[in-house]
Amino acid sequence: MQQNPMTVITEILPDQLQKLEAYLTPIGTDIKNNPAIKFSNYQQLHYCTFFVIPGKHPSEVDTGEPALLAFEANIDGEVKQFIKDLIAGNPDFVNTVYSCCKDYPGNNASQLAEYLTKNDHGANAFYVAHPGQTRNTIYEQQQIRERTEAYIDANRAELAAKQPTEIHADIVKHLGTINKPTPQPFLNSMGQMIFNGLLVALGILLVGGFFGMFGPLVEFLAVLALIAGVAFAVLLRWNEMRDKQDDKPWTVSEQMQAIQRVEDRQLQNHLTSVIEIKPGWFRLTTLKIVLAGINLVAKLVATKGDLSGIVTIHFARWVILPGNKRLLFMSNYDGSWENYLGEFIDHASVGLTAVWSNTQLGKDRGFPDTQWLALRGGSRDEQRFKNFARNSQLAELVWYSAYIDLSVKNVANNRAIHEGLFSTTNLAAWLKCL
Amino acid sequence: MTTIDKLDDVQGIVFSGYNKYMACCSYYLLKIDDAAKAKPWLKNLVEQNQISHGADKPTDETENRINLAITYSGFEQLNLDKDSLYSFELSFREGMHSEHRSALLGDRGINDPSGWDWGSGAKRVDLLFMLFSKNEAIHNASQKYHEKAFKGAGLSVVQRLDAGEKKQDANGFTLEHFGFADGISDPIVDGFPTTSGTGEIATGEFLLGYPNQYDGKLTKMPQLGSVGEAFGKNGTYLVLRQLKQDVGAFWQFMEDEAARQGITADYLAAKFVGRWKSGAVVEPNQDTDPNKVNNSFDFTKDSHGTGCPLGSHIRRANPRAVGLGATAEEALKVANRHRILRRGRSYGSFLDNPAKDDGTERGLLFICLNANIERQFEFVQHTWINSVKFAGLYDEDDPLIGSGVAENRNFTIQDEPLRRRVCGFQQFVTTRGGSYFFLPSLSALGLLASS
Repeated sequence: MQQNPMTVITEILPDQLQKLEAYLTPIGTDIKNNPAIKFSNYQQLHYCTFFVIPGKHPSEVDTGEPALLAFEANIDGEVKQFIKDLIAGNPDFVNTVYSCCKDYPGNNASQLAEYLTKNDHGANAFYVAHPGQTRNTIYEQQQIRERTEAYIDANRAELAAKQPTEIHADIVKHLGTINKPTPQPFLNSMGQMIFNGLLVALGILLVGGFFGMFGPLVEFLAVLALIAGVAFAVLLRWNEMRDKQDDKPWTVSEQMQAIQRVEDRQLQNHLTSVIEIKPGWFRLTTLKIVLAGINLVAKLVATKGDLSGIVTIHFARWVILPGNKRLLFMSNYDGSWENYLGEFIDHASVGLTAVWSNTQLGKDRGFPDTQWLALRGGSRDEQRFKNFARNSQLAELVWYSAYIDLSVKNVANNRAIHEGLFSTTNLAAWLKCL
Repeated sequence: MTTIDKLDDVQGIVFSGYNKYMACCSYYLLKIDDAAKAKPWLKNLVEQNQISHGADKPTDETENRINLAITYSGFEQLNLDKDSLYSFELSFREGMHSEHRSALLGDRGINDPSGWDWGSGAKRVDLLFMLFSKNEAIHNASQKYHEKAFKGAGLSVVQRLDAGEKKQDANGFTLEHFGFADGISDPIVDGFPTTSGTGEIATGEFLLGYPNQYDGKLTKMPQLGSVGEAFGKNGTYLVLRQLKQDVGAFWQFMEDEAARQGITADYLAAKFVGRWKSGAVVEPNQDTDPNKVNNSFDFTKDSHGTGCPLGSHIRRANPRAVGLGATAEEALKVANRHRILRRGRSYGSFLDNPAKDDGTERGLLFICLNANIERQFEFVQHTWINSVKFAGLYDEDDPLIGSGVAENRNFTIQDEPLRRRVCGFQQFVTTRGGSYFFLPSLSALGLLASS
């Protein structure tokens, strides 16, 4: 089953903002036992958050824009089905929240569902650590692991004297009937090949086309692409040379204290960043192309819990907010903020800088100086980049994780354990997963 | 290769723990009661050349070494202006005892700052005065002299931490209380006078004002008024933690558990640490201490941890070249952005029978230097030492010094054909106090004294 992003963005009625925050805050502080909603009842839900995007954020100058409510969810299967289930399961919750928002249609379930669907902006780029792994599979495989480990703990001395095949047989026998693991989605195994194929095809088309191997039309298009490429490079460098990077250090505002109060207190964290897109069509277009590229990479290449070297992200997405002025980034990740940002710099400077070099905190407060979109500078300027990220960050009112004690690597390892139960080869290697 | 322009501007502790010439050591944790009196005292220390620096060549005649570091509250007491105070990094401003930092460091439960001997609440610390002496007679005299001077300088002693006797093994390594050779693996820093050729880690990781591990960028430096960043240059951040070691409980547990599992206590303890007592790293298919220490290893030949377990202490403290990147080179690059330089000493007496506690306190006065506390010390503590998910593991922290799991702790020992697991043990190391300090350059101390 496919995982899908839901990003419902609605305008908050100015006089309802306080009420909305007062309603959601206690839910967020007691996510498990609050009387309003039990997110774990929704079996298709991996993560969800609610947060307010102040109209002016990240700029300090009030633009008069209304505050927005964002509702992010990472879902197994169709978003529509989740919305339907949510309204049926917790109508009071949904109505209380959205009655604080503009254009709220009233408590009629189908109209409400339509309202949420209409305001769902999905994602411009969406990354899933383990495509195809449903929440229920993740739960099931964690149970299989726990039962297996407990069995080994109790019988280690006896088992260790045996051959891997015998140990495997004993474990399988002990576990009894276990569901067969669902096969991985087609793209998990074939995506990289398709991606490489696409690149090669594009290369042949461009080079061959340029030399007229595929007729005059393709030749014309190839020449056009070349001209467009050169024009893009010139425009890009012209823009980059005029950009000013932000030099302001990170300030500890109330907002930041709210973030720190909940950050790094448990295995996982959520990061919410809202940032201004640099004005003008050029940056917006560049950003859209980059995000489409990242989305393609996420679908085809980064399907094994590894987003260009970052092995701690469960789900991440970029969404261009309505009005095309701001960019929203959200991610559910393992470990500390310091580690997460460090991983960005250590492993993923190119992709990250290609996105964020098109953004700024405000006028003349741009992303750290970048050359050639992503090739030099940008997030490699460690401290300036961390300040920039901090200043773009927002606190969540509600954050739910269906498996807060499992890391990305744990989920992958649990799957390997499950699959290995049905295998007869490489059993010595399989035992290393335990 | 980087050159440090003025070695005589850098406090000596940056380059050496003075282990060779200075047998005795006391760390005075001081509170500033009267800044107007403290400043002339400080001025006097600097002008009389009493603060040791990097150009001081120690000899057998050298009697003392003195170094001085200041906490955030210390700078407040010395009346630094708001902008200057704000120019220090956030973790330093908040302090080790603060809600946010202590949660990050795993100082919860028995490690909570509310139970510390010093460093929190009324036992706040402003200054760290490090006094080293050649021998006991000189140390006693020096202690008397300086303690008297503190009184006249409006300083009160919150706590005096005395380093304990030094114990060395046959190979000349210093032993820590659990009985393992320690201090084997400090980074070789570029530009340090003790380093020949180009060091493995950039100068700027441990000393401000020099290129760091991020393509030679400069780590942000604290500033002072019109002097600006020159104030921070040649200074660095210093972390001090008093870590109590429960030696009796550790070895008692090793013996009981080893007997239960049919192995030896030394083998089990070596798996916890990742090194044998001699300091030799534990290699696959090795049952006893080879007693041959070679520190230039990485874990590429032991990627599954069947020798040195994935979650063992030394693998967490410095993962070397495994697990942090797609290639060994990339992993090493990442690991080297989170190094610390250790300068501490043990305290308390050595236990005669390690498995039988005698009721007295002993442990480690952990000191480390780093240019960025958040990226170096705190990162190592949170993401490597205390993380239960380190190296793909599930529910275990550093078995030796971790505080990421409160009780009923686990430890997995990778083995063939099947891993071994040790379950339900306690924390063997407890935080008894701690603070973040800034170790200014000599010129910066001079500026502070006359500000």
